[in-house]
Amino acid sequence: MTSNVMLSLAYLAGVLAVFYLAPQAARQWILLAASLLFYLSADPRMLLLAAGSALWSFAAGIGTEKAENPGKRKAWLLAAVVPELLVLFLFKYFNFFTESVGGLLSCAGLSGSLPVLKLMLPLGISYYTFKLVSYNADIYLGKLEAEKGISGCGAYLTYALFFPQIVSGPIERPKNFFAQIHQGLSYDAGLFAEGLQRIVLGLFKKMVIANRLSAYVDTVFGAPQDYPGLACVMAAFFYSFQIYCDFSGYSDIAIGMGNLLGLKCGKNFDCPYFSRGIKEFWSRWHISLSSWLRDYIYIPLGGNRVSAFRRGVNVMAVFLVSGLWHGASWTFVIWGGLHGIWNLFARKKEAGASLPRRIWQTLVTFFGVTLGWVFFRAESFLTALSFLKRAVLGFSLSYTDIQNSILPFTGDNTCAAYFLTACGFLFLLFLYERGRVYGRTREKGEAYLSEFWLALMALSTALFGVFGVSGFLYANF
Amino acid sequence: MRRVLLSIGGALLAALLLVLLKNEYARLLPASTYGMQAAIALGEADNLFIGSSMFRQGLSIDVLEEELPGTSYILSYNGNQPALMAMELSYLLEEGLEVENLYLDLYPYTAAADPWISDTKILLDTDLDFKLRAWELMAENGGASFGDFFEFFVTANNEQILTYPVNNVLVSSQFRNGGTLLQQPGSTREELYALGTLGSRDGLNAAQVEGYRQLCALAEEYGLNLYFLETPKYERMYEDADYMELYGLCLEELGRMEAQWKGSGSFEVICAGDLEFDSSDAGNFQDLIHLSAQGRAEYTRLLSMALREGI
Repeated sequence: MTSNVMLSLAYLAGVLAVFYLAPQAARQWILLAASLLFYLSADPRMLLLAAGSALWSFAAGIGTEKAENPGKRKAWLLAAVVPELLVLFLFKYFNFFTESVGGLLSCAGLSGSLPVLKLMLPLGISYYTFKLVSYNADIYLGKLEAEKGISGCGAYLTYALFFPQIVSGPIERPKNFFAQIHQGLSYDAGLFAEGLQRIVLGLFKKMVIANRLSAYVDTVFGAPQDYPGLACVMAAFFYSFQIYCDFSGYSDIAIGMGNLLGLKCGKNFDCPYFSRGIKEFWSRWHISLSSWLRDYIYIPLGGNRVSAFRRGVNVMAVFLVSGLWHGASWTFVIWGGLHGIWNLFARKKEAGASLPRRIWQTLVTFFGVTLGWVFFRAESFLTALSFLKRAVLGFSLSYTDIQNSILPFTGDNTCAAYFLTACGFLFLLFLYERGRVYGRTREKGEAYLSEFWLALMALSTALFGVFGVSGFLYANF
Repeated sequence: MRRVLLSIGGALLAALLLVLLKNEYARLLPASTYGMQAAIALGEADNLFIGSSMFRQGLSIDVLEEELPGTSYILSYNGNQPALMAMELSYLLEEGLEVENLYLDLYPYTAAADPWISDTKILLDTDLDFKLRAWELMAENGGASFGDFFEFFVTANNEQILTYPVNNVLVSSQFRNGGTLLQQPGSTREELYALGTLGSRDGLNAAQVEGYRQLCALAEEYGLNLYFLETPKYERMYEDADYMELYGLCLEELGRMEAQWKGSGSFEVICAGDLEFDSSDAGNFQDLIHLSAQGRAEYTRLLSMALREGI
């Protein structure tokens, strides 16, 4: 269920029917039941772990609030956060850690076998762990009151396991969520319409663009040596669009599903490829994660109010954690490190730059981000290097190379049609987002789609959706 | 809310309308140089070859045009099976294509498979009635799902139609009268042995055997000369017990059909082994079952010679 968006939407339709037929007071519990059932059907063995972690976090939240002095408050915070992070480490990073230590030991000429755990990664662990941490940290910082009682416990479990967000986020902040839950979830036609628009936009990005590009990207990244340099360059750019459309598409669907259930959620993406610099990019890409890292790592480390050296260390820490959050592999660490270094040297872009300069800055940012994605996507650092080497040294624009670079789309004589269609839809997305960034549609609401775009995206999804590809890239993280 | 629902509803209605139009009228797009519509546009094909990619890669249109009298046309779809070949022949004849000699692909693996359209170009070339009959055949014998139905009727070929003015010109430049003009290189023995085998099958499929019978019946009805052709496979295939068993079963079935043949034309089965083709030369093959450009020219020359002697 988790890997198939259409099944998730069908599930949502069933939940919606029950949800709006029930009295308002019961709706919070229906959401909880739906979330537990969703998790149970996707990952029954790990439901106890997820729910148990949430219950401990809930109890520790009450303990933090009731603590009489700062020392005890801190102890409660650590009692909440350390186990949460330990569980995440055990499931996600333990093998990476032991493999890396093993590698270091063998480099030093020492041998010995380190334990390897054969554990399945619990569904959404990276997302719900960060939600739990933010809840406990907000109570500690006095930004949030702890949830209490049966109703509060139910609300908290719903927050932690909220089914539209459990697979790939966004990492919703607790304050906004609880305020709405306690106010009572009711039907809001405007919000419902906004949710429908978001779902259409998300389906368009995911089904029409991301899924269409995935076969090409997988084929070329799988064996770059078999394809011309041009194909590697195309695969790198297509991956940029694939990961964006896959993840932001899922976020749109998840936020839209929340809207249909009467919940307003924060945005997770804001046309990031229109950024003029890397700092702006990170204020537009995976906003829920980058703001989480800012609030719970960067600022507690001192943020900007420290020496330049310490600030640099803080920035690098944030980006290395961001890389590691995405996966237990050195490729992600390198990707995070690259972004960290780039951020260190980046300056805020001037407001009144000329159009050519703005276009140039946008292109440079996009190319740099695309280069970073190569390390993110590759199996290993060496694979990424050989991919880039192939892209540069094997690059030509000969007729044969152009033909062989388009071929991986389908492997037969329909490849040109698929290539042209993919380019056409990317151009449509560009036009839509350009309108969002520079046009007037933004003023009409976060999720506003004009009749033209709404109909075009719905029509495109129905006729050009690639439904055979299941799963979301960010569900792997 | 009303605006959103109307836009989405309108788009879905438009999609439904476009799907209906596509399934009935996409065949009326300007004909390409391959597939059924191009054959119908040709009007007559003295030598009509119907088969799978074995025929596309295995028959040279240049050599056929040089060596055989009359017009030759190669109708090939990926994975084309006897049951579908029968439907295609029936469709072509009903649409008025004049044929004298009919050559059919004898590839045992397609005769062992559940009926299925593995090349969506077939859907681009035919009307809704053909598609419904094909779907019925697939659903009855292959257990088709809703996902298959959606792909079959809704999403298939949309990319080709959207980009038709460009894509048709590009793809059509690779064919003439259905024959490929691409020059595929040959392989080495090591490359071909590294490919592995094609797996085992569970005997012939009843619907495919029925397809052979329908093809024979159509040839009888229209007074056609009927030839079953086995294009050469790499020597390794002839060492594959599973392939040879299926091959034997196909020949048995065709033997029975030949015994019952009541047509005015001839009925012949020409196997690769009947010709002096070198199946051990890896340079003649692109992979285990498909010929290279060199192998294609050589095989077609030998086949034409055999047919001329027979004619």
